[in-house]
Amino acid sequence: MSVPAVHAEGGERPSFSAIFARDLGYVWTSLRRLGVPSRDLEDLSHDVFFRVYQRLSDYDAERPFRPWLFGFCFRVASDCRRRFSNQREVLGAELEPIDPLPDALDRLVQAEATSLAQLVLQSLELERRAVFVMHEIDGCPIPEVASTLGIPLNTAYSRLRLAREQFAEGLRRERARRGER
Amino acid sequence: MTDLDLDEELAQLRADVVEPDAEATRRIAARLARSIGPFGGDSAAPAPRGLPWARPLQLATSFVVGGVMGAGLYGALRAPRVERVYVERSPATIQTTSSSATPLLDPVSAPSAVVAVPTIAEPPPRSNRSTVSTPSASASGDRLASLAEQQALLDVARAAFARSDYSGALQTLATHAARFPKSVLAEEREALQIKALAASDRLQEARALATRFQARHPQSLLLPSIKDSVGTIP
Repeated sequence: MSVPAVHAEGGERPSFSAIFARDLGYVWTSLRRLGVPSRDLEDLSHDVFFRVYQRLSDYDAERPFRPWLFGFCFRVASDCRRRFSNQREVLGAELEPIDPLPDALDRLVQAEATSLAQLVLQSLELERRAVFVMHEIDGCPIPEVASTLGIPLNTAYSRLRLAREQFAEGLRRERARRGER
Repeated sequence: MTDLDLDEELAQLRADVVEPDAEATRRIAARLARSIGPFGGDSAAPAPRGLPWARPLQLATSFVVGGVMGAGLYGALRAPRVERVYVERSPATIQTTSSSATPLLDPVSAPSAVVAVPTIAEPPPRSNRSTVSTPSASASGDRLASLAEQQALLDVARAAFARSDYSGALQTLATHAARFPKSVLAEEREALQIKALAASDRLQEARALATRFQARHPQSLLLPSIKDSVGTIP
């Protein structure tokens, strides 16, 4: 947890242009960690900033900014996954049976994974992955995670525990499959 | 798997930061500018929710403009509204106008307007209908004209009844019965006749007709009102 959360400078609400210039990379990376395929990163980054623009006045400048921003990333990624899931169901009904495991979107993203850790990260279900990314990678305290994602504190802790177990187990299995230690 | 192992992988994930290239950044910025307006620097930074009245004002303006445009469009496209005026005439007049093939509904020559019923203008007849007249169409048209005439005559009687001119109502109904003895509106005609008789203190005749009416139309929806007017039906 060595990565500090970015706060609004001086406790004031940042301007939209400053947010865009400073945090586009963060949004892009967060969407990628949340399982958005490369081909959709541009569209969904736009969607995130559009929503941020609409809700900027709701931001509490006393709180860290990036968890608030991550909340938008999570909701946009979640919507994307839902849309993709619906599309797959419609197409699958007409063309061919769907291979149940793993999810087609997951396979696509996993194929783009540049590291073992990222590959295993993509195997976590989205809600757990969001908690895991916020806490383990972005260094956000769990109460802040729970508040951002709109879930009870115990649920956040539970998801974190399950995500850790799943992540560790995924690493172990993948290493075994590759013949590593 | 130990925490140390996880830390190693987590450090890898933290370091795995990917920035969009300059072209992608430019495209996203351009799309945002199209969506929300230019936002090049702090001075151009938008205030999306800083103006709480802006959204309601926009909605109100849209509502007013939409309403005005809709009203204009409706006024331009709707069919002209006409009033159909029913006039009261004496039976002799009706006989005369009928024999001379003058339409019964003649608002111009009406001596007194009794009932004015606003109606929406009917669409203009199709061109082929106006130019081609088949026997069946002609017969159907005659039936409709006759029905309209029967209804109009009955309306005249109702209007007379409504203004307590019971003798006028009975006279009109007698004319109706003479001209259209097998009218589809006979049930209504007889009911009105019974009520007019009862209202004229001719209860005995009214009750006799009511008995006959009940026998002919035992399920009639008009029976309750007839019973109200004659008291009891023998």
